[in-house]
Amino acid sequence: MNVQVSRKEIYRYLGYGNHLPDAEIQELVEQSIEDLQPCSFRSVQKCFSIDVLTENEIWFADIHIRSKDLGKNLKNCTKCVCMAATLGPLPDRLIQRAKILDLSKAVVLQAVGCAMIESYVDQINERIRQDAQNQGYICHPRYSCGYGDFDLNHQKDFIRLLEMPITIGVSLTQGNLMIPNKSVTAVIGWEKK
Amino acid sequence: MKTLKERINTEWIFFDGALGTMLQKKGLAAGQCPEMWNLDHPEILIEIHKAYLEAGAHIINANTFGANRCKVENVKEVVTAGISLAKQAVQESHRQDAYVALDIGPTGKLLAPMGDLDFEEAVSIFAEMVRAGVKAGADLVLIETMSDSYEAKAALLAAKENCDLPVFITFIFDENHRLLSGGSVQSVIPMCEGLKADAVGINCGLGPAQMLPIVKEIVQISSLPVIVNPNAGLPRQLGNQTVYDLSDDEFAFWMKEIAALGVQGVGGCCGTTPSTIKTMIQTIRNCPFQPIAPKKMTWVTSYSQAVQIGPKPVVIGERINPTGKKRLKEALRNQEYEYILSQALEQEIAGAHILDVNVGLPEIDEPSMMKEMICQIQSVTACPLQIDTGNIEALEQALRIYNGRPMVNSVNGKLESMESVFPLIQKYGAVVVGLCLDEEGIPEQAEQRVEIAKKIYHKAEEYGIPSKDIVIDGLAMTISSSSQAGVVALETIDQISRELNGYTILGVSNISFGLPQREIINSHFLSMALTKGLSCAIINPNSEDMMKSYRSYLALQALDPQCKGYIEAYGSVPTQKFTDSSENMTLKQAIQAGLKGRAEQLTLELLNQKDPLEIVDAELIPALDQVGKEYESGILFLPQLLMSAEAAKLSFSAIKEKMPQDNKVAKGRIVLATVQGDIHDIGKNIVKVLLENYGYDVIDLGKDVAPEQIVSCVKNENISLVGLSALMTTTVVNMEKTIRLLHEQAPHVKIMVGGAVLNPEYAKMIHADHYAPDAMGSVRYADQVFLKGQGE
Repeated sequence: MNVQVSRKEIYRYLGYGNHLPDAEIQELVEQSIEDLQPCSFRSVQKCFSIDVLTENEIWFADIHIRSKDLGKNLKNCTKCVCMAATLGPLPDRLIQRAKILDLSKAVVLQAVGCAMIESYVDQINERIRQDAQNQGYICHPRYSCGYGDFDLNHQKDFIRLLEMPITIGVSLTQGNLMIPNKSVTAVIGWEKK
Repeated sequence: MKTLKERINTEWIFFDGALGTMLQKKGLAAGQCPEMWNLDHPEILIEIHKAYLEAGAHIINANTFGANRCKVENVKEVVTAGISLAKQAVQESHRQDAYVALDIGPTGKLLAPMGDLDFEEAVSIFAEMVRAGVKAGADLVLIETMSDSYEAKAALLAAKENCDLPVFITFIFDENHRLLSGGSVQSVIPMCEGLKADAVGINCGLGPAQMLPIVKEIVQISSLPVIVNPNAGLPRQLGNQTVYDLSDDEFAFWMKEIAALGVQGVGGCCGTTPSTIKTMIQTIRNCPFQPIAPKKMTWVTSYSQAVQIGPKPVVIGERINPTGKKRLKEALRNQEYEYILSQALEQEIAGAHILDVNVGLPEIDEPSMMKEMICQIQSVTACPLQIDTGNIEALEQALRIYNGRPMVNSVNGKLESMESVFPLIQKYGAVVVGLCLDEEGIPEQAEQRVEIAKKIYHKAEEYGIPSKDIVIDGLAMTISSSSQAGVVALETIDQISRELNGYTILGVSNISFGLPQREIINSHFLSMALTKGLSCAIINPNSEDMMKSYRSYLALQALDPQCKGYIEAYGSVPTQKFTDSSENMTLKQAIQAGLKGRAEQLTLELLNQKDPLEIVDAELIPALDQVGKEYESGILFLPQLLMSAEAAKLSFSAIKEKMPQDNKVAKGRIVLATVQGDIHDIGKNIVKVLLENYGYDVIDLGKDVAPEQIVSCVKNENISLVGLSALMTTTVVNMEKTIRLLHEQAPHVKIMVGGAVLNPEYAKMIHADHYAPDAMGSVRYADQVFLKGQGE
């Protein structure tokens, strides 16, 4: 899997803003990118027809979401793709180890992991966009639960619909956090051109 | 008639195909719970089961895969219905050679420490299914689609503890031959053998063509019958439907190839149908059947790594054992897990294959500490562990909670020892160290030690523990008190390995006890023992001399192809981290630059000339102040701040060693915790390191901490400042709850909060005393509370 990560994003996550880190930190970033290369990139997606869409209610598959923000995001869409992606357990394990041996490394791995999952999801999103285009649709920006008033509890629906524990090895904690940590779920609305 | 356990190693046993795929064809929608159809559409299930029976399958999976309490409310009802329907189908098909399997899939939750499902809770979830299935009349338990060795262990234990039925288990591997959680064929199959599964194998995830190389690996190491249930090829999305790419004939073709590898049970998973299974059975039925052969291989495993004893000597790290180690004793007493974990990681990095874990101290509760340490160490390293204890309760708890197939240190030739240790090994599976001593003590002659070894082998056999799973300790005693000790230990190793073809182990370092410069003797003794055939060396892998002996032995004995390992370790001169200008660096500069090694070295040098407190005042504190100020004014950023903090931490610990015990004055004691429900703790750890650097004693309660636990710690330890961290909006609720409880029960305590979702207004709203925007902010506030005696 070839996932390009933006150094600039990583430096931004580390709090550098527009500054460039010194050589030593840059080296630590490069080392962390290399450490995370063997990640098991996995993703799963399913396309659903949207059955009902009002200003603040969405029905598709067997789920019912009350959310103004998602309603707005999906305006005019007739279909949506639910997707989930993960870097697998490696980042969590490496961060866990670094927390003991080298905290600055842990912070850098954390930032690199975030940038990596984002850019992986961007890649998948781009494929979905092309797919939509081929079928005569335009894609809306992806939207995740936990954003705005899209309740984090709906994470459970993603887990179920996409069978995430079996398909990509992602499950939820009691508090609806995804494990492995470097995982993302999102809805991408399709609007007929 | 033969039992199923006998049949599966004497003739082809055919498993049915997909149930989910069939249910979807009948209208089951995505996301719907298939098991509810046992109650809502019983006639459809009977129809599907009958179709598979007609196709010729022996094993019919009841529709109980996800019928666990994480997914359905009425487990007993759903399982009972599922089994009854399958039984009814068997009866109506008049198939007396068919069996109904209680089908058990994963819970969908991840077990702690990676996730938050407690191991015993997982066992209990599966046990509930097993009890219901047995009562309803299941003929066997089939645990399948397992992607995590730990969950597989929980399911196997639940099955074995709640029924006498045959228990089969199959895993889902990916194209890299790994489980989702990282496990390999070599790490999971030996674990299942140890836990007394009756057959093992692979299902789902891949088609038969992709499974073939993995099946080869399984057949090579398994002593248990092997089951293979692939998908009907690779999946493809066709509109809203998932379709698989193999036709019935193609599936049968590949299954015939797999059958020829020497497997015993075959069937199908996702995408296969009664016609797939029928074609497969017709193709394989008359192919020659081979029973699985027992293998003489000895494996010690973790959740993802497997170490084989025998082909080449194995290094077992000895550092996590408090005997003679002041700092470790202190860490165990104060539950400073981080120190212990750092010992584990250092040994792994130095080249240990297995880590010995001994936490025996008279004043601590060994069973609970052992359990805690096993979990903690396994959360940071994949090195398999050696559970080292004489406390039977500690041993059982550790064997139960361990993820993989551990090594146990030890049993000895005393009847009492064998009768208490062997039943545990029999139940959980492990490689066990057998000490050559018995009721008469430690024999002085090698021949007598070998006799005790034979006695241990013999007794183990009564418990079904093969001699390949016993590693005999030849007992290295110090040569400073008995000059023959080295000779006798070496002779014992020699005889066990040459005459009995057995595996051996030595606690190498004991040999030099009482002598100066012990590593000289130790490393030479190690070389000598290795040439006598030593299989496992318990040593300090951080010792250069020991690892030099070990790596040289491997290279000289043709156990290190192309001397690759040797060259990797010694081929390049270690790169000098410091440039010339750093030669004249002060400690203050080294800390500011975040050079850990240099800071430690300079501290040690300074300690020869100066008073410890003087170093702290003149170098450490000014350096930290400077770095802190630069961070606060945006000249320097978080990673650099941390590098400096860690350099200072090393310098501090070097100083602490030199300081008299009573001189350890802390500015104050602070409790830190990430609140319940939140598992993000990097932020909290950063705060901890900085507070420690600034002279505070920190009690770190960890992550996902219940409000009650925080309150009770504050009360018991008489704490005046608490720091709480939360990263998620959803867990701030728990932060608020904790604060409320603290205000009620410990009104004197000050509370500072921090974390990504908080801001000063929010902090005020939940009644925190202070909002710390970053780690330096919490140091400043602590200074305010403790030094000025006021906190806002």
